[in-house]
This record gives sequence, C-alpha cells and structure tokens, in this order.
Amino acid sequence: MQGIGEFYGGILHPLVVPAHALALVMLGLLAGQRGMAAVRRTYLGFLPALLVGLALSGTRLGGSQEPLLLVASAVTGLLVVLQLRLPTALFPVAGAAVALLLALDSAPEGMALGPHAATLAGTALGAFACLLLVADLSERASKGWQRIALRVLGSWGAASATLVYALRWLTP
Amino acid sequence: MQLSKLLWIAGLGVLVATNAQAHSAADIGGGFVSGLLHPVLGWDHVAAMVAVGLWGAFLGATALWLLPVVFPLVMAVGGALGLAGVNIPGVEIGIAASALVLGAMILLAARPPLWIAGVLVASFAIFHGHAHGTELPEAASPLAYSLGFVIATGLLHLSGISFGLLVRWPFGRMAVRATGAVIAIAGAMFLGQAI
Repeated sequence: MQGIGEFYGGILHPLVVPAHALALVMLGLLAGQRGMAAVRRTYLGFLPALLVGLALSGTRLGGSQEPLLLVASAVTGLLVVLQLRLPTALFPVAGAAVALLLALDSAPEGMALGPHAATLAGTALGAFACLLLVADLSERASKGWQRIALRVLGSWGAASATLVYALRWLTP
Repeated sequence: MQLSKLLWIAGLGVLVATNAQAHSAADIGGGFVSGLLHPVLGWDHVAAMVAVGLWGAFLGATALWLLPVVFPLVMAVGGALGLAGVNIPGVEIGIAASALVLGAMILLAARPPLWIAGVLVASFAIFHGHAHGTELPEAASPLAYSLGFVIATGLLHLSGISFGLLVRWPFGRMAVRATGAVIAIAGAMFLGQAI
C-alpha cells in the first residue's frame, strides 16, 4: 500500500483484503456469540498461530491460502447462523486455523528486512485488533434483536464466501 | 458515553466506511459498490426482496429472522450452480414469479406453516442467486462484489421487515396488504415480459 509506510500498510492489510477481513469477522462473530470464555480461548489459539504463521510466511510454506480462508469463512458463518452451543475447546483450534491461514497469505514481497518486519508487525496488530473489536461487539450482543443481527451477518458472510469459492474453484 | 455504545458506533462506522482514495483499493471499493447497487437497480429483484421481509412480518417473530437468513444462504447455492455451469431453465420466469407469488401471499395475509414458507422462499432464492452468480465473473473484486450484493439484499429484506411491522395496527395491516397487491401486479408484469 503506497504512501502510508510499511507498518501502517501492514495494519490495513487484513482489513483491505476481503478474504482476510471476512474470515476475521466470521471468527469474531462465532467466538463472541458463544461468550467470553470462548473469546479468550480463541485468542489463545489465534495469537501464537498468527506469530508462527507470519514468521513462516516468507518461506516456501507461505502463499495464497484464499480457498481455505473462504471455506473457513463459510463454515464459521454457517455456525453463527445455527447458533449452536459448541464446546469451548474447539475455539483455540478455530482461532489457530484462521490465524495460520491468514498469516501464511500475508507475506510482503520485495522488501528489505526492516520494512518486511514492520509490515508483518503491522499485519499482526491489524488482524488481532479486527478480531478483538468484532468478538467484543459480538459478545456484548445480548438483546434478542442483536442476537438475530449476528445470525444475519453470519448468513451474509457464509453466502459471500460460498459464491466466491464457487467462482474461483468450480467454474468450468 | 458507555464503552459498549462507543464500540457499537465504531462497528457501524466500519460497516459504512469507504476506502480512502490514497490506498489504491479501487478494485475492492468499486467491486463492493457495484455489488451493493446491483440488486437495487433491478425492479424484479427489489420487489421480491422487499416482499420476503413484508411476508416475514405477517408470519411472526421466527419468520422475521428465519426468511432473511435462509434467503442469502440458498441464493449462494443458486449462484454456485450458475457459476458451475448448471443450467436452470426459466430463471427470469422464476424471478418474476417470486414477486407475483410473494406479493399474493402478502395481499392474502397467508400464514402457512413456517417450513412451507421457508421452502417457498428458498426455492425462489435459487433463481435470484443463479442470475446474480452469472454476473459475478465480470466483477473487479468478486468477494467485495458478492459481499455488496448480499448486504444490499439483506437491507432490502430489512426495509420490508420495517414496513411490515406496521401490521400491528389495523391501518398498517391494510397498507402492508396493499403493498403486497402492488408487488403482485408488478410481478405479473415482469412475468409477462419474461414469457
């Protein structure tokens, strides 16, 4: 992203890449909908996996993870719609999976070590801030209409992810 | 102001925010706006989407959220079928029929069992999704485009639900049923054009 510096570009990266933003929002909605215990467990899986994934993003393990991110968004969106009481033990796994995919898909290209590190630090901050905000808003949604709004948002996310997955990988 | 209120305002701000021009995210912003405008610019789509919300208001509290949740999910399946090259005959006829049938349901204040209403709405959603899906490949940013048109569809449902809440009052009930009549007539006209 031109003109705003590597660190701020990194912060904005998860927010301006639609597949990343969608995966973060759906994960945040799911965790928050299940309650604070699930939110905390999601962070426990998310943060270490994000750091490991960003560290590995420059290696041959890095690269496009968009198909898997879309699948993750569709599944989490559908779980938000169903509003099941999922075991909280699932949330660190879900958090780690989304963080790892997002991080491996976030490698900056053609940069010296300093700007590269600044971009990755910004990406980590931006991704976690996005998850934090959405999960907190979702967790505070306690009124009936707010719970319905979460399910509607889940259906929108699942529908969009399904369509784009179909576009990219099912088109003849 | 309480922290929770600030967070809600911040969240809504994120939803309505547009990309800053300096960030060269034109493809994403353009794709999103195109998707957002697409359902609004086709009267057959608008009539059917608003009708889903209006009918939900007639059917009661569960239908109010169930139909607008089912619709985009099934619409995505229809879109995926379109993208995968699966031919569904009479897509335009199906879209026109959705406005006619749903408008008639509102006019008659029909209250079938919820699962029947769900199946009916879902089957119409397949046609709408198929039509949207075939236009997706031309979008600059397909995910932003699809997010835009799914959100626009949801907002059209919401406008129908908001208006449909008038059914609590006798005058409002008449106004909603009259709107159903207008939608049904429009659907009949769309159907005439499609055939």
